[in-house]
Amino acid sequence: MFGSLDISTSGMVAQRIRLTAASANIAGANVVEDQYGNYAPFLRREVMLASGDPSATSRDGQSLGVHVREVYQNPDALRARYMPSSPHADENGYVMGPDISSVAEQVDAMEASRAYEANVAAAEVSKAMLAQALRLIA
Amino acid sequence: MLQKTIQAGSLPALEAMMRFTGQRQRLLAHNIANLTTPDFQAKDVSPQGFQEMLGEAVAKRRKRTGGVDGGLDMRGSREVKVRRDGSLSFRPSDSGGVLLHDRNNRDVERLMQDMTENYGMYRVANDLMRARMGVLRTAISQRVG
Amino acid sequence: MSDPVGLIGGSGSPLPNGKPQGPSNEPTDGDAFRQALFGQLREVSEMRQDADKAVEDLMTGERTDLEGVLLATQKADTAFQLLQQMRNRVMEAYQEIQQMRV
Repeated sequence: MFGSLDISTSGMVAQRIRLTAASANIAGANVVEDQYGNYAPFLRREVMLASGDPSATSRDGQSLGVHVREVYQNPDALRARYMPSSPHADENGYVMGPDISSVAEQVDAMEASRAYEANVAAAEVSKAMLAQALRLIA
Repeated sequence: MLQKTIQAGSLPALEAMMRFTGQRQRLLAHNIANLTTPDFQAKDVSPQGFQEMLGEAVAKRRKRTGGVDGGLDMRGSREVKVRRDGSLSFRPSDSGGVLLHDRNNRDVERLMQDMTENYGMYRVANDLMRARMGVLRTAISQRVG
Repeated sequence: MSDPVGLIGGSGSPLPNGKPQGPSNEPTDGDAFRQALFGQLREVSEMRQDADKAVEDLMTGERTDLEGVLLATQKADTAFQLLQQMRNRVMEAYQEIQQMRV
């Protein structure tokens, strides 16, 4: 009876994780070292979504819906940045830093937020349909 | 005979579901109210477990009387104890067994979904019971319309 | 109970052995009415039991289609109300006949 609610909830959870990843990427766009000063460039977080939600309780929710397969830290999302004063710079003054564009991440965040709203709207529709069906016996 | 009339058909199952969902609603509201409380552990009783228990009792009743009348004999589970007068007493366990990497993020949505589903089931049981009682009353009064 | 297309029995439709199938043991009018009434009673009772079973299955999780269960209960309740109305009319007719001065 509530399979569609399961599906919408899984969508909300997935979009929230995408939003979190976009926020993390924006925050770490210029990070090249960790708290101890070692060379540890921030790797761009990429959220891998897959269909189906194994943690749902209803059958519909398990086969339909969406879940986060993994949050992949992309080791190739690096580009050379000119930072001659950094202790990690090579002989030309370049450091391999994160290849993150704040603008692109912001667009991702907006898209995730709109998708979240869309899932909430779908859940509301499911609830309204249930209420309508109950009017049959009112 | 009065007992048989009040326990006719699907009324006992509807009553059991109404009790369960009504009590669980309080539990879920408690969890949601404590969303931002530090060190708070959300607890819940499993609706699937209750439905299994209800299914067993309904099957037993069907074998006994063909499902026409008679009360439900629910044996109770670890989480839900059934008292003699039919009321339930909960022993909720910690909800969210497996710690997923995104557990913090899913709590809000899952909590809201649980509450919506629980309320939906309560409405369904409530409206169906009202309809069934209405038909009973019509039959008793013997006047239609 | 009605047979608008003439599929059930019916005069003049021949059987393989060539004889026309006519109504042989036609019950009297009173009997026919009684059988019709009891047939309806049985039907309505079955519909109500089916609806009750559907509701119980919805509660225990055997069924998840709320719409199907609601339609079954609506059908059963409507049929029951129709039966009640028929009973009321019959009772009124009976009482009217009783009050007739011969």
